[in-house]
Amino acid sequence: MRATPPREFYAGLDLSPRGGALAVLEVEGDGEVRYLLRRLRRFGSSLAFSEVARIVTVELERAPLLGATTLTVNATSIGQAVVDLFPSALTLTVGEREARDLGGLVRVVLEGGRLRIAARLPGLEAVLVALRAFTGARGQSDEPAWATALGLWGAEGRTRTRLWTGGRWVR
Amino acid sequence: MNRTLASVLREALQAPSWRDLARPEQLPPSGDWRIWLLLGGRGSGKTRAAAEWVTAEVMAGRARAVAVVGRTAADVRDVMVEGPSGLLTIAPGWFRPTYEPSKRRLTWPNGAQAALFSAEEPDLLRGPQHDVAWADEAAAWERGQETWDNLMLTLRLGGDPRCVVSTTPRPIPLIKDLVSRQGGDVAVTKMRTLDNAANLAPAFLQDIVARYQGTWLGRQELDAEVLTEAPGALWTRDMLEQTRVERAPDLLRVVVGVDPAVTSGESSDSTGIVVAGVGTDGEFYVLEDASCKATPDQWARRAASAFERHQADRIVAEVNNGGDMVELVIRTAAPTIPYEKTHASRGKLTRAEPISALFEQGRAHLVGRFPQLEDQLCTYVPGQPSPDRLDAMVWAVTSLLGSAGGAVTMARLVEAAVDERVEPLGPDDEDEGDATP
Repeated sequence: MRATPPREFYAGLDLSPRGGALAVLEVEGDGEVRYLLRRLRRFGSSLAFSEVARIVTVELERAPLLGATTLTVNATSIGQAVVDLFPSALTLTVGEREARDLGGLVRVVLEGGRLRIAARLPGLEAVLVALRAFTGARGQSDEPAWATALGLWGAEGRTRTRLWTGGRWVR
Repeated sequence: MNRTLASVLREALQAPSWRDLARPEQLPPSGDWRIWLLLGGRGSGKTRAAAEWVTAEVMAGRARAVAVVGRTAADVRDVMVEGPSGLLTIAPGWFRPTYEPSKRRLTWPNGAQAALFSAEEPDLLRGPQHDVAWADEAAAWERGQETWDNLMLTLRLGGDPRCVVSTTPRPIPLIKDLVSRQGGDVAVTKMRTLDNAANLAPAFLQDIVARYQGTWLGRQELDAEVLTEAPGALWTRDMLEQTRVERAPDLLRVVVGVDPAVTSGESSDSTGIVVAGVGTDGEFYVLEDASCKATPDQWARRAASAFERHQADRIVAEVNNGGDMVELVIRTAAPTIPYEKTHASRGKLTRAEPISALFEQGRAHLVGRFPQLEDQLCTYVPGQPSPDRLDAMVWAVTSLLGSAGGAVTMARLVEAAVDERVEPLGPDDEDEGDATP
């Protein structure tokens, strides 16, 4: 019986014709969990979606992410063919409602002190700039914020309503 | 079935009359009144008294055109017409009116008619005229004064148009004005809940009456006293009136506060659901009280629906009683809604006091009227268990207070999230493509 729960990661991938970003969050604690933003990759607009998919797959197959990561992909306006490149991912099509919800979600998690960002994160400044302005409306160079929000969206509700006890998750 | 005159007469003679069954205060007072104000506690028999009076007026031929006005269209149908004390139910078989829901009309066998109105639509009372009116739960009408004024203007038929008002009292201007006219054109009768104990379910008496008897709220809801506010209450009626507005400005953020009931049985508490927003003027606006007594699934859907209707930013809920069940229930109803937990153990008084201070400073406002929420605000005394609607409002405005700084606060939150102790993962790869590192 495990005394501590297995490590658990949630990743968000935001893709658009202007570029994209992958954010990887590790879950810390149980019940009122915290999220540690421990990895950020950005993709330029010149990169084909198929190439982005290949890079993301390689990323998530590394230890300790392999088998421990839930990926959420922003499926808005990228086409089903691209979504199909991520067969095991959660997908979210972001309309006005979902965009506002994601903006609110990031704020709720930040206000609760439940999102910690690695100070030596490559691309730190990009994610800070994007998060400061993030409201759920699309803006310039905001892919890191969207990727973070998608990761949080994948995690919230799956992580907060359970406790690790007796060697297993209990809801 | 063909009914003979003999069978109709036999039924009429055999049935006990209302005069035999009624308590004295349920019978219309003598005198030259124009308005009979029936102030009654919950379940005190005021609806039956009003319905019986209307039926008697119709039967006697003094009422040919009746206005029946309730808080909502559903209340009119479910309470005043079809309810256990409604006009259809209490009428003797030989004098039962025909109900045409689509026309919102009742027609008695003698040709008299009643038009059914919801107090939510006061404009529909412009035009028609009546000789008798029944206004039910007028103290809880959302657009009370406007509906009342329009109703009074319709009472212009016959030589002696009259109106019965059956309501649980609240110290709103309309009720205070009617009470002040007692002895003039208004006759006031008070009916206590306990006086009708013989007709009430034992569970209601045990759970509700026992719980509230002797409390400030109980004096109003059970004993039909017109109270203003409890001594020591954090809110006063004056404070609410002075800060009340009809419309909110543009809003920066909107939050739905939820104070969940732990159980959902007949005698359980309501779930407080209150929507509040912070305006572009930096002030706080209470937009809706959607509280209800319902199962967890029902209140979660109601909260999610309020969230949608107001395009809110988050739901904030107290979790002390329901634990993580609350989040689970809300997420089942609406998976993507941003959800914030709040813990009552941090102190309800310390939460409620700053919010009442906002009202005192004129920086918080009720947008319209919320009779039940207002009752709770003005009767809650620190130290007592705090009621559901008040708590839901306090959670919502507290959450807004924390985020009222808007973008500046977001910048600060982001800076505060950067943590030296969190290690980045994996190799320090370059970004791919033409992204600027």
